[in-house]
Amino acid sequence: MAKPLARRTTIRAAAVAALICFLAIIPLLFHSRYHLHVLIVVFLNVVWASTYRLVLRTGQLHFGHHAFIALGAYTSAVLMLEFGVPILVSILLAGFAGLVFAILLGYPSLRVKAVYFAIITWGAAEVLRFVFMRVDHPFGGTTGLSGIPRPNDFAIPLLGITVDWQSKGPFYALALTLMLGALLALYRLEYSRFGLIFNAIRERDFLAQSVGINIMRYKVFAFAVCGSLASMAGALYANYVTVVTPFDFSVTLLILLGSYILVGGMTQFAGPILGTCLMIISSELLSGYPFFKMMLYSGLIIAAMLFLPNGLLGLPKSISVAVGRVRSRASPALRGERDA
Amino acid sequence: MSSTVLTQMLVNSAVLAVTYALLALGLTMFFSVMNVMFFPAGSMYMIAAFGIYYLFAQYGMDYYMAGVITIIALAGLALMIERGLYRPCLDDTLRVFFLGVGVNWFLESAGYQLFGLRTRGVPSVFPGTFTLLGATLAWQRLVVICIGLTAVVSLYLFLTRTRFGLGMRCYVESPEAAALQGIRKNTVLRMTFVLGVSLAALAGVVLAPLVQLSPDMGSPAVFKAFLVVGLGGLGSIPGSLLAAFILATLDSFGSSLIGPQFTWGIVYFLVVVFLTIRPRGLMGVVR
Amino acid sequence: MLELRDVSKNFGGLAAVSGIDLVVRQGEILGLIGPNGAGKTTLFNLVSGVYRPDTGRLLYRGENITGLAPHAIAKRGIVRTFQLTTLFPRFTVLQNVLVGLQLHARYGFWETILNTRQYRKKEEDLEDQAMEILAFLGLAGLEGELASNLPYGQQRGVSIAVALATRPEVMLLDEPISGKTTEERLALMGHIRQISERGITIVLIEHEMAAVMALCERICVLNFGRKIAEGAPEEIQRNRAVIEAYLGEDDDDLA
Repeated sequence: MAKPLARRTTIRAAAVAALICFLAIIPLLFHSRYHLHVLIVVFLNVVWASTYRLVLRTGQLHFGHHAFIALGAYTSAVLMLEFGVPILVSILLAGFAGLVFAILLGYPSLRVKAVYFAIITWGAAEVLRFVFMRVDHPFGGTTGLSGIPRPNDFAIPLLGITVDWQSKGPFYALALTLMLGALLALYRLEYSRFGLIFNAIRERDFLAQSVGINIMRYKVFAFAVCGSLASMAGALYANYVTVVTPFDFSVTLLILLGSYILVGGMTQFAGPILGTCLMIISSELLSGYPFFKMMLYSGLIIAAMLFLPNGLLGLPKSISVAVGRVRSRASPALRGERDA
Repeated sequence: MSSTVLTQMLVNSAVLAVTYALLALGLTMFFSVMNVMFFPAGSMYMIAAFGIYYLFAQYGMDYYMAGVITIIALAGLALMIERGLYRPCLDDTLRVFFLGVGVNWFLESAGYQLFGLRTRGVPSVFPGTFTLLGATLAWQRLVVICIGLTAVVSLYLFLTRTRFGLGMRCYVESPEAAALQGIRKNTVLRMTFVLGVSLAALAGVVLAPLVQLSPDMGSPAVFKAFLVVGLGGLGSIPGSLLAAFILATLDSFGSSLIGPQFTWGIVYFLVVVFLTIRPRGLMGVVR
Repeated sequence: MLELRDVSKNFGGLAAVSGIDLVVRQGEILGLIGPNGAGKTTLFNLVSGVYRPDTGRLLYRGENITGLAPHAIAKRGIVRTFQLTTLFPRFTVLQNVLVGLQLHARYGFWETILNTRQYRKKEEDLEDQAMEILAFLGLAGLEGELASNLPYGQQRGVSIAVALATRPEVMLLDEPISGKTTEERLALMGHIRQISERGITIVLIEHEMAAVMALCERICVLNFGRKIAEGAPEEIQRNRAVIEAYLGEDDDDLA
């Protein structure tokens, strides 16, 4: 390591701060609606992918993350359409709904073996989707809910700015804030005692238990935090696009999120961030060729699984592992043969 | 309920049961050996059906020939996938799983690319109907049931009477003991792939005349098959058969009485609750 | 202190452990010996909550702990190590010990998220405690090493450090000594004595008879899941039932 640890951390922190400032002022610099739209989509997906990753990192094969997104979206939509709840409150309540759902689903199911948990979470997501699809009032059935109201434009007198909800600006700000808040929480969790415990649970859960860690409590905690954050992002999404249908949140979304994580690197915190950015941007570039895009995505997943099990951010590690393998193949001594 | 309707629903359940059984058996075998859900089974099913479409319906080849060629071709594809893609990855379950997802998705998109979005149909191989207890039933359905039953029985015989089958079961019980007996892991893997995919392909071949073909037909089928395998107990063949039977009956009767979506919503819910209480399914092995 | 009353456990018809009555006195070092398959590890599993006994009760300081989950039992002060070295192989030695320290560390959600000064102080304290424990076991200087890179003997030490970090009152050690060089063995025996001097009660499963005889104040002998003898080392050495149980094993072990 060239630089002492403290200096590296400060440099990194400064870089991140600069990036955040840059992101914050983008709407003032670029007025292209299209680019702002892409960024909003990226921000929301980063939240979804990062929260998904944390649950996976507690060792759970989670197949129902899209349920939380759907739940958040529908909760917010229903609250606003039926009860006239203002936008920010509806997002918070959506987060609360996600929390409750996670606890209700998590307590019975987080105890079971990995594969069964996968089936249960996936089944739960399907049940939820089915409910949204068949119940016409208040979920709108197969046509879903539309016309989610935009908040009223208001003016901030001191700054002389009018917040115009028709433009991308306010939603951009909301999405960026939510993403930064979520990432901060996830980051602090990961690099704290909580993160250590989550890793311990994932690596050797029986050992963690034997030193007094209540693994159910921590698993449910991770599940609940991630679920409620994902729901909040889902609620924001619903408000942004003003339409929700049961078909928006299918298993395909889950697989996409999974691929963002895998391509970026599951072991690294920034993995899902990198993966999401890469894949969504390439998706936009290829938007004219839908099937080719799918083949490319799936091809990327396959390639990632074959060659980059640690994702792109894990590239250094993958390379050193591969080099180690090549070296031991080359040298007879390392292969344990007798005098060559 | 009149006996006509009842009979039709029963025959329907039998057809569905056979379908689910074929897919679920293949998946169960994959699961016992590799401990992971083999997603690509769905696209294999779809490709097989399209194979029949092109060879039999478009090209005019004899149905049985077409079926055999399709199954062999897909088995070959399976071997290539196994050798090239799966074998280097088998240590890590999550990796294998997403690999399966990727492969399935890739094949499905290739399907979209090649076949387009339009749905197709394949004409009946055994046209005509017969009456049973006052109900009019298509011969085709009876044939499907027969072929399916034959396949299940053959699989049973294979697993219990032949050397390969016993070898596979031995490997599932204990890979170390199997190695001592001279049963090679790679052989077992290859066998699993060939058998599993062939079953899925057989399902596609056999059902082609009965269902609407489209490139996305694989996913719903394989998801339902997962449900069957999960309910029956991962790694248990009798469990899968029992679960296939139960779910097919529920599906058939439910779809006629309350519509397919309602039925499946309730079925999902029941299965989820059941698995929460009894995670190992109906007859799963607790390892 | 720790009491087992008529504890039994069956596995599909096979009685792993049956009708065990045992009292562990506070502060003692109790040896648990017996031929392979006698049920010693099963007993540990029962006490630590991994298995639930089919019959009988487990009492700790008068409280009925039968059927409690493993983490609850660890919380009450009973911790165990495992026969095959178990630690977290992909963690550093320091991280391993820190996991053990979690049990008594108090920190909340919000102070973690906001990285308050309080939180950082607590982190430092935990690290200091971890270093203390490592030093006590002679593992100082290894804290940055990946646990899987260490030689077997040191790994054993680390797993004991992790157990110690939970501030236990009772430690169940499953074969900590077997299979190591003489120096390592002597060092570990020294550590076990030191741990006992700190007031911690120790129950020791071990095959190394010399170590058992030297360390333990009392010994309990199991065979085929039943207790066949209990008492001071000298009595056990002379006990006919015990000698018979070990017939076929190396007689020198008991000498």
